Amino acid sequence: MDGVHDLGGMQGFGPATWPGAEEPTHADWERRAFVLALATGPYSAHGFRHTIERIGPARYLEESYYGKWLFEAELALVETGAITHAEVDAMAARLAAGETPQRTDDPVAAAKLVRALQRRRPLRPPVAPRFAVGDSVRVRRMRPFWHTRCPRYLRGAAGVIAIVHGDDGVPDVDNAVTETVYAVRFAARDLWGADVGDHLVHADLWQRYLEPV
Amino acid sequence: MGGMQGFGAATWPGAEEPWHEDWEIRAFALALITGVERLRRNSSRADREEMAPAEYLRVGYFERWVYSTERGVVANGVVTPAEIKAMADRVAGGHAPTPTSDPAQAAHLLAELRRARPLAAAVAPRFGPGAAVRVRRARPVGHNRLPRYLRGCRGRVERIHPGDRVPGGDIEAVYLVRFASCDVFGDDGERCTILADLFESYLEAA
Repeated sequence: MDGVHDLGGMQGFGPATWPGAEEPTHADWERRAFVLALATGPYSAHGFRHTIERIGPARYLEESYYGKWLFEAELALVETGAITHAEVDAMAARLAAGETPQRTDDPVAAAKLVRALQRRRPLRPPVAPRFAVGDSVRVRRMRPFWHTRCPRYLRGAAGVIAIVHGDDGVPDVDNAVTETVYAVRFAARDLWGADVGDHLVHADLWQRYLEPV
Repeated sequence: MGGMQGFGAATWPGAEEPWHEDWEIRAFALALITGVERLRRNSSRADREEMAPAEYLRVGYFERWVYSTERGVVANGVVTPAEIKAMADRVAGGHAPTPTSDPAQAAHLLAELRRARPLAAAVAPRFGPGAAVRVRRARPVGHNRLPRYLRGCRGRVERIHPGDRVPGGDIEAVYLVRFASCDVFGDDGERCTILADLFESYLEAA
């Protein structure tokens, strides 16, 4: 979906980093939100991102990073029928009234989650790559209605294959569908015009985003 | 926001009304009067585009006008941010602002609004009707009328409009350019034709 989350190439959002930005979390609840989103899976990176992209645009920009994860966890649980929004609201009201939440410890679930996180998921070697290093490609124009990893600012731009990474699940479809992922090199001037300087932009792009030039 | 998704319906019951609250009429008049009377700098769109992105999306159309009017009069030194805050605090505290009536100023404003401002004659247009053009890729600073979703797209000149002042520049020819939706959004979704008014400096020969 070409929603407000696709900030690449946009202006007016302030500095990309700030003192303290390198810390993984900035409040205790953020660690719990992170664990909640992971533990309530089934963890599917692309479905997860599509759910986050359905936050209303103004709220998306206002919410912190882990606020979005919490939104995702709640919506995903509501949509699988595990909980209702009303239950979440009722618990929020009880907490606001001073109730101490019950603590749940489940060492087995915790160990399972840690194992899943530590499992390496290397890219598979490319099976039938359409492009080779040095090939000229153009990013397709598209109007995706689900999650995509093809940034808007690259659409229609011409670049060169820099690396053939390997095969991976296609975010736009399903992890079960795999195809080759490439690092594509663009001249910044081919993205933003002649007055931006000589730097290069590299992007990892799935094969279906590309067409030969 | 052109070409973006996820913002909900573009129209809704009642959307055709010019405004929905009394204060919006006053916000509109205030923006116009401060412009006509040259009390503020004339860069409303650039000012509104500098709103913080989340705030820009959250507030209504006329709240953005209030924002740019405020910035414009502050930039001209007509009022100070402290004065605006002091008055906002007084109104929040129950103070009823005194209505001011100035029939001469109102008449002047109406006369200005009704004054026809014909576009300039097209200045030696570089492209003729039917010419194949490509929209330039750009990273503009300041207000511009070059939608992102058209950058790099090929289209054809459908009509040459009279000339107009390009934001931040001089009088230029303006073209109505026709794009096939597949050249803008690929083959996803319904096919259609997209027409956009574009300044000559936004275009190059294709």
